[in-house]
Amino acid sequence: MRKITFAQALNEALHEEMMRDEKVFIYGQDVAVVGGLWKVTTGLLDKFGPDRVKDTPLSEAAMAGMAVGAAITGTRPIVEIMFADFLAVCFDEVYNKAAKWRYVHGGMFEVPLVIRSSMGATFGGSAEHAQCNEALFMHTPGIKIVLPSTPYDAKGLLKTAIRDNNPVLFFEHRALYNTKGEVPEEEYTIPFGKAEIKKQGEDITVVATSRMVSRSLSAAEDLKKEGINIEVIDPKTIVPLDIEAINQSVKKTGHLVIVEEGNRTGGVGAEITALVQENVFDFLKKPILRISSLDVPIPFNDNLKNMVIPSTTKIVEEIKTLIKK
Amino acid sequence: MNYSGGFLQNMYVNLLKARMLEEKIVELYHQGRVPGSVHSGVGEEATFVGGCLALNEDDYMMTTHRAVCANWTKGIEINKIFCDLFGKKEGTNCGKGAAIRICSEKVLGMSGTQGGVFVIATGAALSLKLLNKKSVVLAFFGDNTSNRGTFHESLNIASLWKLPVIFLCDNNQYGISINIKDSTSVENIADRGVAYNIPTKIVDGNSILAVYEATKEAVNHAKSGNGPYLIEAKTYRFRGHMEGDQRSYRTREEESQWMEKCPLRRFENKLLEQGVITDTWIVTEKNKIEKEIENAISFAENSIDPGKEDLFKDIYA
Ligand SMILES: Cc1ncc(C[n+]2csc(CCOP(=O)(O)OP(=O)(O)O)c2C)c(N)n1
Ligand SMILES: [Mg+2]
Repeated sequence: MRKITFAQALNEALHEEMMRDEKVFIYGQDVAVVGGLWKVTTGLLDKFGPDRVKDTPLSEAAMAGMAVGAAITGTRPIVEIMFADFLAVCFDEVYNKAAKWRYVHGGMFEVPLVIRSSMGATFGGSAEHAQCNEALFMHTPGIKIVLPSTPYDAKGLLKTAIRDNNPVLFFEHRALYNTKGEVPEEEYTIPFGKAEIKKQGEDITVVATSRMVSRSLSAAEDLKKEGINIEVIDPKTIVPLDIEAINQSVKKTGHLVIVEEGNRTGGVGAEITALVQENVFDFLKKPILRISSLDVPIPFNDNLKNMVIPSTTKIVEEIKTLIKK
Repeated sequence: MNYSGGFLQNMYVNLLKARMLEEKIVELYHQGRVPGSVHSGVGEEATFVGGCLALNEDDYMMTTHRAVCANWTKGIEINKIFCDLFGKKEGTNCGKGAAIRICSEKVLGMSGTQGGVFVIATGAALSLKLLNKKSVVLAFFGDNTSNRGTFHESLNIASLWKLPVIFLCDNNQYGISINIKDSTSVENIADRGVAYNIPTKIVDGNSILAVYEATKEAVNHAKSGNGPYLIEAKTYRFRGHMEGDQRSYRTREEESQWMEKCPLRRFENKLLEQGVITDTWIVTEKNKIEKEIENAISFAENSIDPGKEDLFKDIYA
């Protein structure tokens, strides 16, 4: 099968969906003329013209809020918020407007919008250009949250997001944009709320998201040499969350580790931990382990940054320690 | 402008309905029959009704917490309005959004965080433009809400992209307790339009014809593809920010000066003078409206509450 990058896969999804449905349109900062800082929107302006592909001023609150207004009146906006950190600038529009407009108006409106945002601690980034803040948005009902980890998933999930009649937050890890993977030429979509077992194993269930999926898979190889066979599960969407797949795996392994790049306190791992102990407590042989970024603002210096973000080595070490406990 | 007698009578009836609705809501509140707070729009009805009447049926509107009466003008059934006031299942929002969030396909609802209106109305206007619809969005907002950043972001984009949205400020001089002089760096909200290259108009918000005409002009402007318009209607909140507010921050003299300019009485006197309406006609209309309101109240009070089956409904489509 052909291999393309994560960014190209996203770009294909946008081209295909905008071709399929003329109500779909996209805007964001620097997305039209230069095709986005992350090169995800390349070629859209040429193909679909300036009405459907728009550069916006630096106005995140308007960008996110306008998507709600557009969505409730019959179009299907896609918004690029350059850095996930900037979602804080339009928090009200995402958390109160997008997520709740349908409910508080008794189902009068559908809110089919997608907010794409890049995230993650990568070279040169620090506190306000590096966060994985998806957990913040998990706290409100009304919004779906997607965390693709491969080019294949990026394309299929983005197509599903665009067709969904609800607000969707779509987080693209910046370290993944240039990673390559197999993506078929044929049309496909990937359903929300369905986890994938990336690697089978009997000893420990490892739930990982976004960039942490590949790090966990690398850790799996190292651990195998030590005789530890982990099962790696990628939920792909954290809202809706395929908790059943996680429960089933924990029933088999008796151990759960969650690996995420967001902060530890109030994180995705905390929520999965709570759910699993509610659901399958009796099957757990050891305490649930969370491997996450440390609870500090992400520092600029690489030496410091590497202490904060979970590495493959760290995942291996922590899992070995857990087994020895 | 010259208007037919029928047109003026219709305008008067809408204004009267708005006043009677607003007064009834206050009365119900003080009888303990409203399960929530009431932000009365008494005194500002000419702004809300006049603006709304300038719209066609296929135009869109967004209200504020103080513009409940405009929903009736826009054609939402009075039964539903009272159901929403009481949080009943048969309302427009199924007991989930209160009277402030009365909605319809064309009434896009209200943002509980003040300032959401600007971005949502602007986005709706963008949508209409993309869909080649010949409609506009009329967004009501309060003077103090123009101090939110969303106002400035939205006006800039609406102007830049020439979107068919009309921002209509009901400048009632106050945001809860703060006077506009203490909250706002410019004398007029309309002064802010120039910063965004948006045409503006200041009107007497207690003159229903003045608000109507300004809004009509703005609608034509927007429908001709010329982009947004900012209207400031100078008016006054007769009552407190919400029922129960003791209004310690202003004087009774100031209030009575404004009450002299009551928008309903002014329009009524004018039409009586012109012979467009008569006292007996007014009494007949009042009785009709009174009956309509009483029927709606009893419909709403006797209708059911939303239940368990509604609780998780409509979180997602
Ligand atoms: C973001 C936000 N801040 C504060 C409030 C509380 N609040 C509700 S109405 C209001 C006053 C608004 O004043 P104005 O815009 O002049 O409208 P008016 O009440 O006079 O109609 C305030 C402060 C809110 N709802 N949302
Ligand atoms: Mg005010």
